[in-house]
Amino acid sequence: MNRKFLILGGLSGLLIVTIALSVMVGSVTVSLSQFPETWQEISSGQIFSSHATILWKLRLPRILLACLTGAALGVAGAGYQGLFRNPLADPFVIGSASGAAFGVALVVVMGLQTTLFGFSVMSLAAFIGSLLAVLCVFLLAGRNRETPMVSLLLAGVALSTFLSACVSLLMIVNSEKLFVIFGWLMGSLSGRSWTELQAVTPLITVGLIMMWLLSRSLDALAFGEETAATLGLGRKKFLALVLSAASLLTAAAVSAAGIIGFVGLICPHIARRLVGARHAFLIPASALLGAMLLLIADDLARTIMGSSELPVGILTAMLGGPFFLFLLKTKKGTA
Amino acid sequence: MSQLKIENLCCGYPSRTVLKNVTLTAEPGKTLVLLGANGAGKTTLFRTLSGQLPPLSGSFQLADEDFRSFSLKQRVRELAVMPQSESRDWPLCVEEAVRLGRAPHRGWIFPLTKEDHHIIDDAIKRTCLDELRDRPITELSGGEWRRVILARALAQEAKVLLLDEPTAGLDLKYQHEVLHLVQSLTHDRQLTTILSLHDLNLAALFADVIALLGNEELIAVGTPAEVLTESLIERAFGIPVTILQHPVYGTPLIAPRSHWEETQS
Repeated sequence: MNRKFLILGGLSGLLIVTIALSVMVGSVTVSLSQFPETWQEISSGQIFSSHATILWKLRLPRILLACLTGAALGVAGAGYQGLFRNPLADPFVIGSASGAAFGVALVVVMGLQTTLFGFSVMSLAAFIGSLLAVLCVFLLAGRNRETPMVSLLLAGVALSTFLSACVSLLMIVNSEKLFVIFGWLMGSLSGRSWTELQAVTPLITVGLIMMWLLSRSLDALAFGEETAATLGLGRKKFLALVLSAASLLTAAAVSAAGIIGFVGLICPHIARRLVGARHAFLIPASALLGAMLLLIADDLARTIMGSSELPVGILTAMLGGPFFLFLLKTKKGTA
Repeated sequence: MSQLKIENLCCGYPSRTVLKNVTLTAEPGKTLVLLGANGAGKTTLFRTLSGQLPPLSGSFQLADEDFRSFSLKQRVRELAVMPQSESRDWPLCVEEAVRLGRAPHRGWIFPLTKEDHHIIDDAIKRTCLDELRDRPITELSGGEWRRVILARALAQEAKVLLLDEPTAGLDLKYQHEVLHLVQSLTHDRQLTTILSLHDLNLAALFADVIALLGNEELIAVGTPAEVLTESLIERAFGIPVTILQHPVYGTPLIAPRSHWEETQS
């Protein structure tokens, strides 16, 4: 038990170090010696130097957004893996990604790339599309007032396939807009500011807390639904709560950064290795790991190619894929 | 005292009645064993008693209180259930699995109290799981896993124990180990225990009362010596048997005779 608290503490420490390092690196390097001066300028509110501007207006919000988005994806993945007791489940398992992609493709094709209340319409479309897709899957999977888990997964696969085909069709028919949609699909945190951060922070915070409060119920599900019921778990309410928390987290992440794969799949696996399968520890660990992983990937995305940027989704998959295979090779038991 | 009184209970599904007019009383401190061929309705009866399947008609009472007046919360505090197949593909450790027995009392959100931890420790000790505390349940043997479920039931502080085939898939030694533990827990804590078994000889050794099911109804209830007779067993299982006597305990010992040879000769 104490060991698990230590590990969570260690992960938090590592995350803080990663954030500090991320602040320094980039197209303009801010060294440790320049840091106090720059910070003073920022805290005084009179930002003139290019260092302070880059740090405050560009780098810091982007770093924080990477952390929040990563945490959201990690926890949504942990929630879905616990709900379906399936190690392959990820935040997009029941249609969030394809719903978001469809929403974005639709507004791009209709030429609605403006802003609304300060947000890009693409982000809003992603958020709404993602939630609508999950809602559709939930309604389609229900029968006789029951919603079997397998039906949820199957309906998710079916709807995802259908919506992906629609997105492809929209892209082919409007080939001049192909790159805009494709660029968004690959996921990126480029150019995000305090506005996006302010929008998703409350959503993600609520989602994270909700999922953490569901820890014990998710543990009970480990014995199967029948036993969970004999321990007093109200299935319908529980299912609705887990799905809302997970889809809220996923939709917020998707609207902030597009579709970023692998973070939500891989973080719960690493977290289980570190702190075990109990969700009260697994969920915070997945959040910290998700934040760290996406932040590192985003640091690489904005530095590795010099002046131009890579979509961060490509990096998470390129880093995550081999690492996941390594985990599989070295796994013991059912991690 | 938590007597479980079943009166004229019919259970099954709206399209198909599985058991008709069961009247049966399970006493605290006694082990009641359900016997019957596959499909005789043992699991259906369990599912009805544990509230997962609404009864078609009839009623049952726990401590003179009708089940219909039970809230969900009350029911899960009174009844601990071991279903026939319980998944354990999620690597919780033994202690974490036993902790969940406190959920019916503490709910799903609030942290456990000192008293809860005391009850959990006690349940773990009573089932001799101390050394396995931190072991993932996915790595346990079948016998150890059954003990974890019993420990969870103890942590639940339920007065009624419903065990659907607790010996399924276990070797001879572990069958006896698990049933011995069930028997001593039932006596020590005055639990009202109902379990189903397939092995008639195990039932003869461990049951205080046997209820024999067959042809959609309760065929007989009584002590092992009263129920395990050649005619009743043949009626319930459709195979002729010879009853011997256990050389050490004097309980009935059932030797099946091959049905097919007899019909041919």
